[in-house]
Amino acid sequence: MNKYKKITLDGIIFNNPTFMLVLGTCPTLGLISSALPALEMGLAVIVILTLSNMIISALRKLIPNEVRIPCYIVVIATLVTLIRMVLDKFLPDVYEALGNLLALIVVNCIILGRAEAFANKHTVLESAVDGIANGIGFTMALTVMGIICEFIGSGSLFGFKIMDFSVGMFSTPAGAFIVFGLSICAFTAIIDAFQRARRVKANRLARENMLDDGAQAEEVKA
Amino acid sequence: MTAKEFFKSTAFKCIAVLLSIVLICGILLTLCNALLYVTDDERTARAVAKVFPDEEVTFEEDEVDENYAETANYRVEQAFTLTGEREGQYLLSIIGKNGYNSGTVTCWVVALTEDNAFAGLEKLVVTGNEKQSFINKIGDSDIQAVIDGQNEDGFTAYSSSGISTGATFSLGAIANAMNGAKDYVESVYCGVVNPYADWTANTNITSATTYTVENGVVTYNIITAANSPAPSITIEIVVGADKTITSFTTKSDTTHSWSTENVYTDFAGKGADFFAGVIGENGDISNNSNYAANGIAIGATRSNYLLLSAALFATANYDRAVAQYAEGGAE
Amino acid sequence: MATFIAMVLSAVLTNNFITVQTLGICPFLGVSKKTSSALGMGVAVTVVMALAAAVTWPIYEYVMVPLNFAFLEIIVFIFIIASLVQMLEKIIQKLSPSLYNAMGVYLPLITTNCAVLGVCELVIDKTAMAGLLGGAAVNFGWAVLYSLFAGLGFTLIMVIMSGMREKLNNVKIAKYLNGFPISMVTASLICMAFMVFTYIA
Repeated sequence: MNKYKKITLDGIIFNNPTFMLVLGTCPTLGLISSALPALEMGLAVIVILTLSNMIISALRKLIPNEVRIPCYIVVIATLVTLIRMVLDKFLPDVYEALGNLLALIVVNCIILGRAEAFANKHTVLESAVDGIANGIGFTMALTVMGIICEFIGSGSLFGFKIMDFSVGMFSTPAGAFIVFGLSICAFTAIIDAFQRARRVKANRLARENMLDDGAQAEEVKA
Repeated sequence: MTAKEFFKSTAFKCIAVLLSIVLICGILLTLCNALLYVTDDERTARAVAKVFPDEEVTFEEDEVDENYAETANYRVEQAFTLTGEREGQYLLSIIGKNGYNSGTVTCWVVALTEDNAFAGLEKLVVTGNEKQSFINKIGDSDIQAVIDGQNEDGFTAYSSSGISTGATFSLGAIANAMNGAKDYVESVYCGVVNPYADWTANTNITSATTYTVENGVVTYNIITAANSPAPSITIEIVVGADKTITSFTTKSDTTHSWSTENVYTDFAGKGADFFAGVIGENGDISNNSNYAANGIAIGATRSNYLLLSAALFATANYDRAVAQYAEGGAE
Repeated sequence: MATFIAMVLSAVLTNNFITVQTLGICPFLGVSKKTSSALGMGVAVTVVMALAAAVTWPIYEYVMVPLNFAFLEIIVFIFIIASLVQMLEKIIQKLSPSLYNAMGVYLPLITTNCAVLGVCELVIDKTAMAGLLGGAAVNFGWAVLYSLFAGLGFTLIMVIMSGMREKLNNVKIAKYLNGFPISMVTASLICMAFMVFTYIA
């Protein structure tokens, strides 16, 4: 079980695709001007990433190494086309809000990256967990930045107006770049502090253990 | 390499796997496409549902009547007759022209009729625009104010209505769309015949225009269409037997800058060729240099365009007016 | 002519791929450390964008739409782009090994550059293109020209960015800001500068 916990934590936090690996930047910058499309995009990516990870993992023994990248691209492109059809049919508002960025999921490096780095070496179940975790990591990053940009840029949250004051720049790419950059900065700083605290704790435990061992050894000697 | 070796080689395996994946994906997508294809009718229904968010509306799509679909101020894209509870109402998709920077505004308009006569607009929903950078400054209340400000000459976005948005010309294009809806519904659905439909140079001339002929002198009482932000203007024009203007008087409310009448005393003695030349081929209101070169006041370009259109209409149709009046065809 | 000028201004300045449409950000952040490599990447992307539009537009318009398989556009486009990039790589290698050495490393990266797929998707969108061309009807020539100038706009920003990043090398940057964050703040400044151009159109 520990294995799945590690995959999940890696995907969401320690190897967060948006903040730590800085992948999939184009849809991120294009959509974080408001929170709702960002969240919708995130959900679409979760679905596609999970399915593509599962399919590619299932086919990993079948696909020859030489043509693996074209095969992955075909699978991903098919999934993207499918989700576009489904959204167009059942959720036309979402389809319109995401526009061309939906088609560009094909070249989103997160999906191809996870296929190449994880799915072709692991079982279907592990790949599915990895896909969901990375998708959630991406979605969270997008939504958080979307909330920040929308709040400062148009004084609203998920489309509901809450204050009159706004700095219009934050709903343009210029604001998106600044928020993205500073978010990466904040995220790495927090993770770093957390890691250091964990390491300090681990060291202290180790030292105590060593002392205990030493004491025991003394006792044994005595 | 023999055939057998080829079938065992990696190259064959690569090609086979790639091709079969492409094939499976292609077939899968074709199936899904057949299942999930969104037809044009469905898209239309969706667009209509957006105009009426809280109710189910039934409608029939009509063919757009090309005779009335396009003028210099608007173009009717789609027309629907609403049925059921909304009997007698019409939904039009209209592009209002002559906005800011000669751009356009695309909108849905719900037009009401009563006893086979146009009875105002219920609402207008803006769906798109071209070059209208400030259109976000126009709120629903501003559009409603223009709709409520309707008078016998149509809708005006400025001057008398006193609406101040910061996007005057975009609102002007919207008002053009409203007037377009009024004209289209009147001529296509209410059967109002424009007596001047087959006259030349009838751009901006409304059917309320009248004329009389006496001793070879035609006196027009022209009521122009609005060319937002310029309102509709009533003008009395007298054209003499030499087919040039003898007098040109603006009759409607003259509190606006275009009423500097002395400029238009210059119109006297001018014929159709002169006015056609000033307006130019496309009648574009951005044709400022042409106006200035002919001594026409600048700064109220759109009003000037209406005045010039009226003058051109009066002079160019002299012969027709005389002939039809003799037949007793004039009202 | 007026349409041409409007199109060029729009493609290069007011609707720039990086600063306004935020496409092609990966190479923008990844390959902009040195001016020479930024220029190489920019030129390579420009060439591929123009070629890809020149191939995909007629295929979409004259083959896929009449035969009713327009829904396969993503798969077809990405395949065309991938094969184009491969072919270009081989041709450059044959014709000019020195150019290949300078540009070759960037070529494989271009397949997954969203600016290329983005421009192909954009030029087949009739309403979007009508807006960019000021109402003129889209045809093959406009589609290719637009892609070419969009690529040049991309190159322009790449070069500006690399210049700024070369200057950044000379200053000391706080630990957590170093790397991607400071590049993005720099990019934000470029975007702000380019926002001014939206007011002239």
